[in-house]
Amino acid sequence: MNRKLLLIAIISTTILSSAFIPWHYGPDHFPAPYLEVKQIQDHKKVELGRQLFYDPILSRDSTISCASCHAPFNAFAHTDHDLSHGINDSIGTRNAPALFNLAWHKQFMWDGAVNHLEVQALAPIEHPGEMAENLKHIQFKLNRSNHYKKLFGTTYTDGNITGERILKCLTEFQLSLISANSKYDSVIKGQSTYTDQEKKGYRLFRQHCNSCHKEPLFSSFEFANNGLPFDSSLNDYGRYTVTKLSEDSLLFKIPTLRNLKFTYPYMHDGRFTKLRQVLNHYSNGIVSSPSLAHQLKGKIRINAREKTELISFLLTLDDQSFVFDKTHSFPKFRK
Amino acid sequence: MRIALTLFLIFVIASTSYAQETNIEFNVQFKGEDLILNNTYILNGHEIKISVCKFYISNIGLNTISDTNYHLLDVENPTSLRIPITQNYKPSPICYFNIGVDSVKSVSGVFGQDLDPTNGMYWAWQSGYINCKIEGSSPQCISRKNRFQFHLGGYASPFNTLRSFSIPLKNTNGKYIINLNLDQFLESVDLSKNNRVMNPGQKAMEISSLLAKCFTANE
Repeated sequence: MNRKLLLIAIISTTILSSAFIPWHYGPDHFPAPYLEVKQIQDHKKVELGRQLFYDPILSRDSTISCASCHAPFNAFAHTDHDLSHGINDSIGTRNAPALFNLAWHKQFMWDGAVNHLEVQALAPIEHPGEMAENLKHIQFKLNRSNHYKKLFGTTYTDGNITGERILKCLTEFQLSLISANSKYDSVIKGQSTYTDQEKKGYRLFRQHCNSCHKEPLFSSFEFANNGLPFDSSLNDYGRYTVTKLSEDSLLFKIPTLRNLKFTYPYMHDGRFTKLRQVLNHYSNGIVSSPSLAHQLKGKIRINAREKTELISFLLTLDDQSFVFDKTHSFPKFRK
Repeated sequence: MRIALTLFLIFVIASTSYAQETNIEFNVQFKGEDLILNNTYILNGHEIKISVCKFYISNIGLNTISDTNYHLLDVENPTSLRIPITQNYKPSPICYFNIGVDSVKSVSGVFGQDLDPTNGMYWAWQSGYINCKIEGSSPQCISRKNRFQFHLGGYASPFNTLRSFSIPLKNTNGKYIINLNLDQFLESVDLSKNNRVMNPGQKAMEISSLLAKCFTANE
């Protein structure tokens, strides 16, 4: 009798204690995400989201998918183009940002027009120069596809394809994109050490860059005016277009510095193709204006050798394993 | 004493637990008649047609907010204009409701059913719901095809276009009716000067307030 009780006690303690093991989304050395991710991802929704992400059915003429501007080999950014282009070769006004670690972002788009990851996909989907579609028509197209009827059928008990579910599955896929396996991360975890050059670069980074490009995500995801000369061919006032507050004029979302090797060109309009050009801008090219970030009001003194060191540190933020990870790359079996 | 106490208890129980299933109906009207979409009306000597009238109702109830769901009311879908409600018996209740989607909901991602973005009431390029959409045409509109398009939205202060109401209602044949007087709205808007709003901002605020004045109890 006692043994049975003991066995019951052991089993129930094990079951109960496993319920109390805290699960949390994201790497241990990252802060808690801004978006509350309450449970382990449903892999069926992630996979459905992946299928949608790589499927040009999301565009009006079935030529443009999310991956057209957010390519996995570029850490889900758009390389080779300063301004991203969409349907019928329409060229936009901004460079598509890289997609990873999105649960730590506070708003989306360079001007923060989108306030939640779940509704971000609507912006490129409905933009006439990007995918030129609308969610209701996508729902209609998916309902005509045996492939998607089957996928939704196995993912949801009632199998219904709704706008909400399309967006939530895309979100689930994007939440699976976590990049935290760079050399920097392994140094943080005590698994490797920097070279002398990288160490010096890290010191310079902490001195000049860290207040906006905060570790370990390498952005505070706030908005800043970093003194870029105004491009009158684009007339892009950034955050001001959303808030209409003059102090937000020329402010853009601070991007992450992870995976820079894969995500060139740089800045909201892709004006710099090389990191050295970026650093030259910070040392010599800053244009003053009332909304200029206060951290950039004083001169940044950094010489050519120091720039090389800083670049070598920035390259330790590249996460090769993320970029070549097959689980979030192009799906093999298409309809 | 015991009889009095029993009677008192019966009275208390009866008055507090008597719950009734009823409906709150929104009558979208033009000059006292139910609106017919795409019908040509005359307003102040000008022809006018209304092609779309859709709006969100939330936090609705009689004397108390009993339904916190979001309902999309669309003149094109008459059953959507009727909201079932439970009511504790009181002869002349005050009807509480909001027109629009509140700011907490507006920053919390995507939702389904009446809030599903496929309903055409969500802005894609800048997060936020369209609280009320009224579209049509009138020769006085200086616009392409003489169209007017009022997409009223915005949840962030100081341009929060959510509007809250408390309207005393009378029971009309077992239901409660609120009128939306579109003729009054379109007259107050001055279509010769204002024919579109498609963004949050000052104009959306002004026009939302004009619209709010047009919700009245059915006499």
